[in-house]
Amino acid sequence: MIIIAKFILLSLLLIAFLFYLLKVRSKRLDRLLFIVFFLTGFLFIIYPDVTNSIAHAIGISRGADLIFYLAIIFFFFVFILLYSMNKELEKKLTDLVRKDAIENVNS
Amino acid sequence: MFSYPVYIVVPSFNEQIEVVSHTITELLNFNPDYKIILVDDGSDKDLRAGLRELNVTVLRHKVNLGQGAALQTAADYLLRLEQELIAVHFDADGQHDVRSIPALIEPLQSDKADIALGSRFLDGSTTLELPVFRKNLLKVARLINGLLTGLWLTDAHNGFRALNRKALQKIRLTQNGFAHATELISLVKKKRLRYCEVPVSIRYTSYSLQKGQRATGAIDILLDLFIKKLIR
Repeated sequence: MIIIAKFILLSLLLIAFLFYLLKVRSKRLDRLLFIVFFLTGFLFIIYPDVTNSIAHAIGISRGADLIFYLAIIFFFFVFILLYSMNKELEKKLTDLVRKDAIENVNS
Repeated sequence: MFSYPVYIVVPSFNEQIEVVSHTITELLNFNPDYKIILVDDGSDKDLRAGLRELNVTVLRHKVNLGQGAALQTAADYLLRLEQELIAVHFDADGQHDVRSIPALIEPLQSDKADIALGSRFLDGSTTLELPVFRKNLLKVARLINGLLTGLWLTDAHNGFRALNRKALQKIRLTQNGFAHATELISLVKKKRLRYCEVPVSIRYTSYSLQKGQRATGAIDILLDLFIKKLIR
């Protein structure tokens, strides 16, 4: 029973996360997610046994494993974030250079 | 059949000035009514100095942005002209044969299509034999492009194209680098533009072959486009 519950829970979480990444994203939500991640990390440092409880609840043997998985998800999220910021910068640069090129045509 | 003004858009980055000058001269000799728009994409040497005697409009990027950005800058510039027109994408290195231009723009002049895509493989009109490695790379590119864009063309990465005003308006290139070719094709499909493929002649000189396109360019394109699907 626990195995099924774990599977369903994880799938739901994953789908929710992907859905967020692909559709709903916004700067505010990004920041909120970031804060949530940090607070969670903070919590885990102060109360390391919590990780074990949560891990067991969803069928992972150790709290350390849970942290590991969460860290992977976190880094993936950060990568997407950084890539977006880079793309935005690139767009600003392009717009600036383009504007200058057209304004100074032939001169 | 109406005759629209033809603008030849020539993006250029660090091509030898003699080569660019020769290409432009060849274009104007072929048809003096062609209006040449040269986009200098941040070349180390400002091309305007060497082209003063020629009848050409130069748009200069102060920094190098990429061929996609260069083409889009020209598009933005042309769209400010309040008229129906035809824009032809033409390489600066002399690979594209000027004599293929009339056939390329014909479907646009007769309003049968919004964009005409040049193809090397429609009737074997390419003069020099392609090296085997390049041929296979192009086959793979064709497959990837077909899967990514949903449009199956005979020549996936051909920069020889003609667009009418509608195509210029609908196609906004956000990919500055080599991925712009794939982005362009996918926009043709998304914006439901009328397209057709036209056989064009490409001349592979020793100068242009040694330039080539990095094989890893394909990886850049895939990375750009896949990650883009993750971002909004």
